[in-house]
Order: sequence, then structure tokens, then C-alpha cells
Amino acid sequence: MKILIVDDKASIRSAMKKILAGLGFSDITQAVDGQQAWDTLEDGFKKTDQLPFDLIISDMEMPKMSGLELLRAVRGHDVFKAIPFIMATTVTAREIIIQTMCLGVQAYIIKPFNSAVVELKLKQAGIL
Amino acid sequence: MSDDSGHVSLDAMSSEFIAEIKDDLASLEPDLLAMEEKGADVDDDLINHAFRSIHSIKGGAGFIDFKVLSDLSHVMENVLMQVREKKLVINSSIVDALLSGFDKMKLMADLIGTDKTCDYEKEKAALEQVLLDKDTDIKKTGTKKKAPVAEPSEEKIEYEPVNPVGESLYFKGQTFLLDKKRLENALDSQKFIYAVFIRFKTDLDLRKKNADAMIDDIKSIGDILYSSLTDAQQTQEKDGFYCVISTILDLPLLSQVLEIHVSQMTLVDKQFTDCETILLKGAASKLVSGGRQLLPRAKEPTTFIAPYESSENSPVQSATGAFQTAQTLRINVDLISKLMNRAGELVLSRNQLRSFMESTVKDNTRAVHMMQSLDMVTTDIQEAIMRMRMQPVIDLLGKYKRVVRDIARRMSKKVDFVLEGADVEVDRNVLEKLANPVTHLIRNCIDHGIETPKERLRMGKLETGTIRIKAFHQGGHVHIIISDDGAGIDPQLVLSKAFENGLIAEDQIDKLTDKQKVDLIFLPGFSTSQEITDISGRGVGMDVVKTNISRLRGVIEIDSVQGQGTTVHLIIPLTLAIVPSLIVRTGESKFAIPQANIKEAIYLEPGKIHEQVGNVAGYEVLRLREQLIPILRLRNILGLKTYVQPPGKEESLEEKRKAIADRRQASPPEQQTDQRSQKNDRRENVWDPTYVILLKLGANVFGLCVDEIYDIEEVVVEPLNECIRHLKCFAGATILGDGDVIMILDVPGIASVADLKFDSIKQARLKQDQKELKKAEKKGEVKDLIIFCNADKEYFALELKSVSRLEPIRPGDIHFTDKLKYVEYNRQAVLLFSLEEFVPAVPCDLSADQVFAIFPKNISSKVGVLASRIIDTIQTDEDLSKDAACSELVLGKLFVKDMMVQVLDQKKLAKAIEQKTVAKKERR
Repeated sequence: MKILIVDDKASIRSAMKKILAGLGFSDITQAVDGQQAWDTLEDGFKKTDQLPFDLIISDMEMPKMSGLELLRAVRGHDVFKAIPFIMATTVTAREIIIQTMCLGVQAYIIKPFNSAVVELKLKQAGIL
Repeated sequence: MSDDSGHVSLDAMSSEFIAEIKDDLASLEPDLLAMEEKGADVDDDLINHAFRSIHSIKGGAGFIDFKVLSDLSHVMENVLMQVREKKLVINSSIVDALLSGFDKMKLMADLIGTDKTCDYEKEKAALEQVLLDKDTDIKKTGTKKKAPVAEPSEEKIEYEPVNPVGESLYFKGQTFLLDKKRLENALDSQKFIYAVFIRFKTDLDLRKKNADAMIDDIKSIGDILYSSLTDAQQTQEKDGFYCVISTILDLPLLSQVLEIHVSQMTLVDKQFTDCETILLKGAASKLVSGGRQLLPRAKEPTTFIAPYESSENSPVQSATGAFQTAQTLRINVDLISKLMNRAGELVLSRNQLRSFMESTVKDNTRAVHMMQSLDMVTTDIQEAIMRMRMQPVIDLLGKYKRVVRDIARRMSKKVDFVLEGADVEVDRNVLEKLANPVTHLIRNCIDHGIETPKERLRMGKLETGTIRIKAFHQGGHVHIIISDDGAGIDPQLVLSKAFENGLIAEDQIDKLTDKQKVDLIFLPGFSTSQEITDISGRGVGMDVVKTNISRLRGVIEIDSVQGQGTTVHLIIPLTLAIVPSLIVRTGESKFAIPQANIKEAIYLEPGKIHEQVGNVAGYEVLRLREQLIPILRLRNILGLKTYVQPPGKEESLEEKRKAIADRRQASPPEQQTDQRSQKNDRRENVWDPTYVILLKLGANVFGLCVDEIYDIEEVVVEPLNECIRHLKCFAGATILGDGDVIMILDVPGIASVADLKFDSIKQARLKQDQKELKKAEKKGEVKDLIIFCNADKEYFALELKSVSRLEPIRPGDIHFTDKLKYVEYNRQAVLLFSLEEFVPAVPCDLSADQVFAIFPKNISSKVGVLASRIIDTIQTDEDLSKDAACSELVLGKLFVKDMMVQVLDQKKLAKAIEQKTVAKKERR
């Protein structure tokens, strides 16, 4: 199970990584914004010709490319659209939630999260 | 340690979250200020950046369970969200509200880990008022606007009368008939199943929403398993209708999206109770707590913060770290300080070892090599650690943008703040100690410097004043220049104030230059006057500023043009920890003098001391290059007993003479009687002070007499013990390579202990100068001239003191390039000019065996003037006669030994050469 964590905050990334490690996931890649995440996806796909990740967990508010834009790009891609996507954010703005839901995410985590929440959401997303 | 469920705790990470919160806060302030500056033109990037900072703070605060901070940042975020969505136009009052919120957040951030309660109602109210104002604005223009997102306090008011009891009213005894298959599907995919009661009035009508739109909203976030809408419409039900929804969204989010209060929603399946508990704990509790909590917390969920055993979980991916591009690492300051101290000790040990090796191990090349590499590595380590402590000045100076803004606003002045050289780095300690003086200076700039907008306009200046801070490195120092374009300092006003306060004697008043008058504000005691704030001068506490800067071993200079502004120049050493110092000895003690304070070291020739040292205005002074420099004897200052060994006696006697000149007879040594041999002459005694170290003190210079000068060493400054810290003369202590513990002298301290008054010396000197001028007028000045020529009967001369050296040159060695003559000297190409290029003269004969190059002083590049022959050097006091035939470069003519000599004006010649050099360079 390869997981891509996207967040501009190192602390959040490492918190998520720690939790995922506790849940038994060890193959974790990090990206600091949507753009880097997208580049990682494309690079991985070019090299292996396979789905580069089995799950994306992304923040919403990030410089360069937001989580919503990343989600839109992923969902618009022929191959990547199959990757489960979990939004992990403090954003609770109505319009953004609706847009996110319309594009389709497997789970929506409101920060702050803890191990139990992540576990629950991973189950919800069909990962666990 | 993991608990049964294998959950890990994030408790150990709290310091990381806190550090990031503080970083975000630091980056938020300049954003807010920039937003205000740009007003309505504010660009999206800026707002987005500020928004993200706030947003991250909110997130971080949530993780460390710091509720007040996450609440306040949430409100801040709401305001910025409105700005981002262009629903709110930035103005000062909005920025005020944001900044006051920011200040409180900063306060809260400082409270992290201590007392987590902090009252922020005022700030919150101000921010909410901003949102409220916006809403009323919109209402006035006729468009009714829905309540701002995520403002439960407003919703609460609407709901309370309707639903005082809670969820039971809606869902008690209520049953929904659901399609079993669809329900199972939803449950299989781990979706939450909610029952929602939608009120026609408050949820639809008040929000100008119809039922279909609500249904669409629900469909966009999940599936509708059941709806009683049709029934309700048919039965003319007035209250509302039920929906059963499956979605992945948590309760608070669902409430947010549907704009329905959480009390009107419930999870329908029992299997969710556990989830709810988890989510209530984990989710942003604010959203839930704003209203009534739907589900009672069955038990305080103490179980799911599981202890975390790092060893089990740490071997997580190393190959996947491609994106951990962390270029920086957070290190505790204490650790760096400790490392720094250790490095200092390492340097000391190295020095000791080196001096030991040098004295004992001489023929062991291996040991010498090892010593060399240890030497090098130690220096490297020391430098690297020094660099670790460097911080960009923006960390300090950036804060002043806010200070300037606040003070300016309070005083109804308009001030721009410009910062240049933000990335210049300084030792952290230095930066910390700069904060107070710089704050003071900037306050003064606004308080006393910048005029009111009205006044400025009247003066023909721009309405908005500018305060400019420029930082740059130069010669191991950091320069900080703080300038304003305000009123400047009125020297007369300062003078009269200083006179009123008895800081200056009446007879001194007339003799001061404007600059000296301005400098009076540095006098201690000047600050005690409160009235000075009422007039357009500055000077509140400037002596404190000066003391602070001196303590940093820095220099402060002030330059003010009345009506045009004031510039304060600070020169500060990059670090305080390691100081290159000159080691000197007086009596039996060694001392270190920081090199930064040293201008030069002078050796007084035993026989000539009486010529160079005199007494002026009660001070011993050294006459040096037309200047009178007060000199102090270190042993007197420190009260050291010194001993002299009288000739012919074995034991030493205590030195009682106070002044250097006392021990010198007026007669030079060669006229001494033979009764005393030179060797036994006590004037040659090593105890006699023969070295004067000239020390810089601001713009002034004074000399310090010492007995001996050793090497310059990089000394590690050790702070003085508490009980001797009050001694002004010492800045610290250090351990030398040979293990000696010595004191580091504090130059300003010594000057103040000796009560040096430079002004009185200068005045005394002025008087003396006038006397001498009169003397000189009576008798022509004695000049040393060097006479040279290209041809017989045409002699030129330069004053010997303006010539740096003479070189014989073989014309064959002269290289010609593009009509330019060069000669190689010390492996450098030196440009040569012929005399005839400047004055009418016979050309230098380059076919001769030898010519001479004369190198005048005061020329920037290496340039020589050719002459065929050097005749002689002579001393003359003859007056020069100048007539119309003389070239411009000729000072005048005189007759010496039957030669008519044209004396060249060295300054003009230098200028002419410079011009020619530049011209030739350009031509090339």
C-alpha cells in the first residue's frame, strides 16, 4: 500500500505519517503542495506505468496548488482517477465541501485528527 | 507502546506543532501590514498566504488541543475568508481588528504549555463586528445575505426558542422506513447514516432556499435514503420534513454544508455511536460545541490516545523520503549555546596544546602535521558553529514595521517604513541586544523626527514621511543605518537644553560645531529632561542607547540636517563571543584589547618622548600627525603598582611618577653624559611605557600607554563573575593559549573612568594651533624637498613627505602598450608618466642607462613619474615665489644652491595623474 501525503506543514505530514505507521502503513511519500504531489504522481506513472499510489491524503489549503485543485486534476486523469482520495483539512467552508464531495473523495477528515479518526476514515475509504 | 488498537499518540510532537504555530504567526504579521498598505488593491497571493498561515495555526492549535487559540484563529480565518472571496474590502479598521487578534494569538502562543486560559472576547468581538458590519452593509443595499459560514453563535439565537429540549423532540419515537439494500450498501461502504430534520422556516425560508435546492445540496454530498418531503407537502405540514442521508461527512461538516443546526441531526444506526465518540474527540470540537451536542459522550474517551513506542514504528521508509527536502533543522538555542561554549573551550585547549607543541616539539614533523590539522578543524568547527547562531536582521528589524505603524497611527502621522538588507546576518546574541536601542531610535524617528502631515505639506515635503533602515556587512561589522526625512535635530535647541541642564559650561558653547551640539544628546542626564519630547528635537534616553551600543562594542554616530532629516549610523560587531584582540602587558599583568577598538599602535622612541608628549588641559597628550591625542596610562587607571629598577640597584622601587614626561629630561639621549651607560639608564628600563595604543571611541581617539605589545589573538570572551561585573574597565575575561587568565579591557569604560573630555583638549589644541599659526606666519615653514630634473637648468622638486619612494629603472625595462608606459614592480604592472605630460618640461631621456621613477603618495593606483636624474634632497625655509609663467601644477619657484627649482604641487599633480589614469582607462 503506497500512500502519498500532501500537506504544506511538516508537522502535519509527520503526524499523519506516524499515525499511518502505527496502522501498519510504511510506504509513504510526502509532498509539500498540490503541484509537487502532481509531479510525483506523473513521475511515478511514467516510470512504472502503474498506479503510483494506492491512496492520496491531502490538505486543502496549500500554496501553488490547493488540495481541491489536486483532487480536480486527479479525478480528471484517465488513470489517477481510480486512486482513493482523502481530504484532511480544517476547511469547513460549505462551498468547498460541496465541490470536494462532487469531485468525489473517499473520506473527509477534519483536522485535528488522531489515530482513531484516521483509522475510521481509512475504513470508510475502503483502505483498511 | 501501542494500545490494543495500535493507535499512536501525537503528544510527543507538540513541540513541532508549537514551533510551526510560532513560525506562522511570525509570517502573518508582515502579511497583515502589507494588506493594509495595499488596501483594496491587495493581491490574491498575499491574502492567500495570510489565510494559509491563519489556517495552519488553527490546525496546529487543534492538534495540541489549545482551544482558545484555535477558536480565535477560526474567527480570524472567517474574516480573511470574506476578504479572499472579495466580500470584504480591506481597510484600516479591519486590519486593526486582525492585528489585535494577531497580538492576542501571539500572547496565546507564548502561553502554550502553561496556562491555557486567555481571555480573547474583546478581539473576537472586534473581528465579529467586522463581519457584522459587512452584513449590515449588504442588507442596506437590499441583498439579504445568509449568515456567515461557521458562526454558530448567531445560529444559536435563531434556534433556541424553537428547540429548547434537544434532539429528542425531533427524533423521539420517529421511525423511518428505509430500503434495506441501499442501507446495507451504505453501511458496507462505511458511510454514516444521518437522520436530519429540515425546518421549512429557519432552514429554507430564512435562507431563501427552496426544498429542491436543499435536496440537491444533500445529493451533492451523499445519498438520500428516505425523505418525508412529499408527505409533508401533501399534509401541509408546516414545521419541516425528515431526510435520512448516507454520507462520508462528519456531523459538523454536514451541518455546515446543509446549513442545518447539529441538533436537528442524528446518527441513526447504533454502530455509529463509537464512531461518534471518536469523531467528537477528534474533530474540531468548536463546530459541535457551538450548539448542543447531539450525542452524549458516553464516557470520557481516555483510551484512544495510545502511548507510542517509537522503536516499533520508526523504521518507516527511507527510500520514500524524496520529498523531505528540509533544508533547515530546528535546534534548541540552549543546545547551540552549549555547543558554542564547548567550541570556545576547544579553541582554548587547541591554543594551549599549540603553544606547548611549539615550545617542546620541534623536530617531529608528524606531530606538527597532526597539530596543523587539529588547528584547521578546530577553526572550521568554530566558524560553523558561529554561523549556526547567525540570524538575519529581518528577524529583528521586520518587527518594526508594526511598531512604526502603531506609533504613527497613534500620533496621527503618516510614515512609510523601508527596510533594506533584510538578509544580512548577525549573531543571535547581538541581535537580541540590538532590539532595545533600535526600538528607541525608531520611536524617536517618529516621535521627534517625522512631522505631522500638515506640517510636512507646509514644508513642501511629501505628506508621508519615510523611515529607512539599511543593514549591510562591512569589515567584520554589521552596519545599520536608520534614517528619516523628518525635521532633523535643531542644534541650538539641543545646546540650550544641555546648558539648562548644566551639562555644558557657558564658555564652551561658542566653540561647538553644529555636529558637536547635536552630539550633546548623547550626554548622560540629557534624557532626564521630559520637555524635550514637546519640541522637535530628539534625545530621550540617547545616552542609554549609546551605552547599549557601546556594550555591544559598537559605535553610534548621528548626523542630522535640520529640516531634512536625521541619520543614525550603528556599527556593530558580528559576534560577541569571539573577539580578535591585541594582547598587551602593563606592569606584571597582561590584558586583551578588542581589535575593533584599536586604531593603531605607536612606539615612542625613548629619546623623543618629550618631543611627542605634552600636557594640555590637564591631560597628557601625544602629538601625532598634527593631532593632539589624550593618553592614559593603563597602570594609573587600574591603580596597578608598578616598579622601576633604579640604575645600579638590585631591587625594584615603586614607581611614583605620574606622567610620562616626568621621567624624561628635555635633553635627547645623545647629549647625555657618559656617567651613565645606555644600558643602565632607567629610561631604557623595560618598565617604562613605550607603546601607546590608539583607541577609537566614536569619533574620538585616545591613547593607552602599555609596557609591551604581544600578538593579536582570537580570544573567547568569558563573562565576568557577578561580583566584579560592575567594574567598568573590563568587558570580560579570557584564557590565553599559554593558560593565562587575563582581563579584556572595555574601551568606553576606561574612557569614562578616566573622565576623558575630548572637547576641552580640542579647544586647547585650537588655541595652541592659533599660536603656532602666528609663529609660522613669522617664519617660513621648513620644507624637505627632493630635487630632480630631465635636463640641466630645469629643476623640479616635490616635498619629500609627499613622495612614497624612488626607484631606479632601466629604460629597457619599460614596456609600451598603446602609448602607455609600464614597468614591472613587485610583479605588478606600474603605470609611468613623464613629467612633460603635466608641466612644460624637457622630455625624459629614455635612451640613458638609467632613469628614476618617483612614486607620489595619495594616488589610488600604482603610478610613477619619470625623471632622468635625482639631484638632491634639501631642507629649506625659503618662501616660494609664484609668477604668471608658472604652470598650474607648480606651487612656486625658489633658488637653492644656484638652481632655480620649480616646486610641484603634490595635490594637484596627484589629481592630474588620477584624471589621466581614468582617461586612459576609458580610452582603452
